[in-house]
Amino acid sequence: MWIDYLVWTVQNLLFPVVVPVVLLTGVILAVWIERRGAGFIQDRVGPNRVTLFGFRNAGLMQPIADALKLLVKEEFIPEKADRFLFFLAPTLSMIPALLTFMVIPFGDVLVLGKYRIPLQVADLNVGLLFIFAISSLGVYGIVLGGWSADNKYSILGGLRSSAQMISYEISMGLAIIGILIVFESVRLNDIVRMQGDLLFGFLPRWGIVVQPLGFLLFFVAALAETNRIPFDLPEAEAEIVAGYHLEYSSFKFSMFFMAEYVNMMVASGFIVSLFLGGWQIPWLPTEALVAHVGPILTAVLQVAAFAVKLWFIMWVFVWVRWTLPRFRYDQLMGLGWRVMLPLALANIFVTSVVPFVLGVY
Amino acid sequence: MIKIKPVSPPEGKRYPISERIYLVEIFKGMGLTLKHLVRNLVTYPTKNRTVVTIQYPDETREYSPRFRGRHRLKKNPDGSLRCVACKLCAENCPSHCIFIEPAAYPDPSMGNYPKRYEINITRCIFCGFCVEACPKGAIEMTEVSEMAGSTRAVFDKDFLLADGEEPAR
Ligand code: SF4
Ligand code: SF4
Repeated sequence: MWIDYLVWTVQNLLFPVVVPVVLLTGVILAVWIERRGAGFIQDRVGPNRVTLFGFRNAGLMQPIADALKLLVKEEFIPEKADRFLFFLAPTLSMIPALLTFMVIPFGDVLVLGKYRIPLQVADLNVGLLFIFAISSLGVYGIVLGGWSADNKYSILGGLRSSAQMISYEISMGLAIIGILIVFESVRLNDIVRMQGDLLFGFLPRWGIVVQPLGFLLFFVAALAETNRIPFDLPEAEAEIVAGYHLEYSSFKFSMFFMAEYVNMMVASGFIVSLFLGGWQIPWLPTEALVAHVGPILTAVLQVAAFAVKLWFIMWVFVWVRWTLPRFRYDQLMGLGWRVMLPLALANIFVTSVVPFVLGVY
Repeated sequence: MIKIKPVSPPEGKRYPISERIYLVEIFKGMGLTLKHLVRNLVTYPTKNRTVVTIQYPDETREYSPRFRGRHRLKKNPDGSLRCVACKLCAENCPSHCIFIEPAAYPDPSMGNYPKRYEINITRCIFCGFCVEACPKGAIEMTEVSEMAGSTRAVFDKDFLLADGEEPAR
C-alpha cells in the first residue's frame, strides 16, 4: 500500500534529512541569541542592522551574512600543515555533532491507526550509550585540527581539549548513572516517558527533581564538553589566540563554528531529555493529550515543548558564558578530578542506597 | 551603588564556606547579568533606554560647540572672501597641509585673495592652529566629523566655501 511507503519514507528518509537541516538552521538562532543576549547583558545592543528585503528583523540575518562572508573569504592553509588531516578535522567535528542528535526523541511515538512513527531519527535501544560513544569522537576533530595546523597555539588548544574532554567525560558518564538507576533504561524515549509520572501526586518525576546533584554535575560537564566558557580553554583567545581553529579560515572555520553550536544544541537536547522531561508537557501525559486533541496536535505540542526546553537550556549556556570568567588550567583539572568526580561517585552511592533505606524496592 | 569586596580574605583566615564552593556566588553573578538583561530589554523600546550604545548612522553623539571638525571658509556679508591670502594659517599648520596661491584683486585697494586655497584633509590633524592664526577670522571649524571618502580628498576653495556642501562638479 502506498501509505506504507509514505510512512517508511517519512521515518527513514525525511527525518534523517530534516533533523540535520533543522539543527544547522538552529545555529542561526543560536548565534543570534548569543550575540544579542551578550549585547543586552553588557548594556549594549548587539548586531541589529542586517536587513532582509529592507527589514531589520532585529539582526536575525546577521549569522547568515557572517556565513556568506566566511564562504567568500580567502582559504588559507599553512605551508607545513598536514593537508589531509587539516581538511578532515572540521568534518570530524561536525559529523559527530550532527549524528548524536539522531537518537534524541523530540516527541512521543506518533500512533496513527496501525502505524507507529517514533519522533526521533533512530530509536536505538542503546541511545544513551550511543550518544556517549559518538560525542567523544568530536574531540578528534579538535585534536587533529590543532595538530595538523603546525602552529604552537593550535596544538596547545588541541592538547587542552583532549585532556579536558577526558576529565569531564568521566564525571559526565558517572553523573548519568544516577539517572540510569532511577529510570532503569538506556533507551532515551523510555527515560523521557518515565519522566511523565508524578511524584507524590503533583511533582513531575523529571530527572532534575530526582537527581538534582546529577543535573548540576551533568550540566557543568556538558559546558566543559562543548568548550563553552568557563571551560573554553581549547579556544582561550587571551592565552592561545584561538586555539585549535587558529589557522582555519573561510568555510573550514565556519564548520568548526557551526559544530560548536550544534554541539551545544545536542548537549541541550540531551540535558532536556534526561533531566527536564524531554518532550513531556508537565501534568499532561501523552494518553490524555491524544484523547483530547488527537495524535497530530499532540505530536506538534510535544515537539514544541521539547523545543522550548531546548532553547531555554541554550539560553542558560549563553547566560553562563557572559557571566563567568574562564578557568585557569589547573583549576579546571582540579574541579574535574577533585570535585566533580567524588561528587558524582557520591551521587551514585546515595542514589543506590536511598531507595533501600526508604524501602522503595 | 557598586559595592566593592576585598579580593583576598582577612589575614590568616579563609573565605567563608559559602564563597569557597562558588555555587552561591555564581548564582548571584547570574542574577546580576539577568538583572541587566531584563532592565535593558524592558527599557529598549521606550524613550529612556539603559543600553549605552549610540546607534551611529541613526543617532549621533552630541558634540561640544568647540568641536574641531571639518573646516569652512567664511564670507563677508557682501559675499566676498574674508581670506586675504596672508598665508599665516599655512605657516602655522604643523602638518603643512594648507596650500594657498595668492592673487591680487584688479582694484589695488582691495588687496589680495586666494586664487587657490586647498586643505589636504588626509594630513590635517584637526589641531585648529589655522583658525587661531587667522587675523581675519576667515577660517573656522564646523561640527562635521563625517569626512570618509573613497578618494584622498583635497578640499579646495569651492568646497570649503560651500560649508561642506559638495559642489556639483
Ligand atoms: S587644523 Fe591644524 S593641521 Fe589642520 S589645517 Fe588647520 S593648522 Fe593644519
Ligand atoms: S585663512 Fe586667514 S590666515 Fe589663512 S590665508 Fe586666509 S586670511 Fe590668512
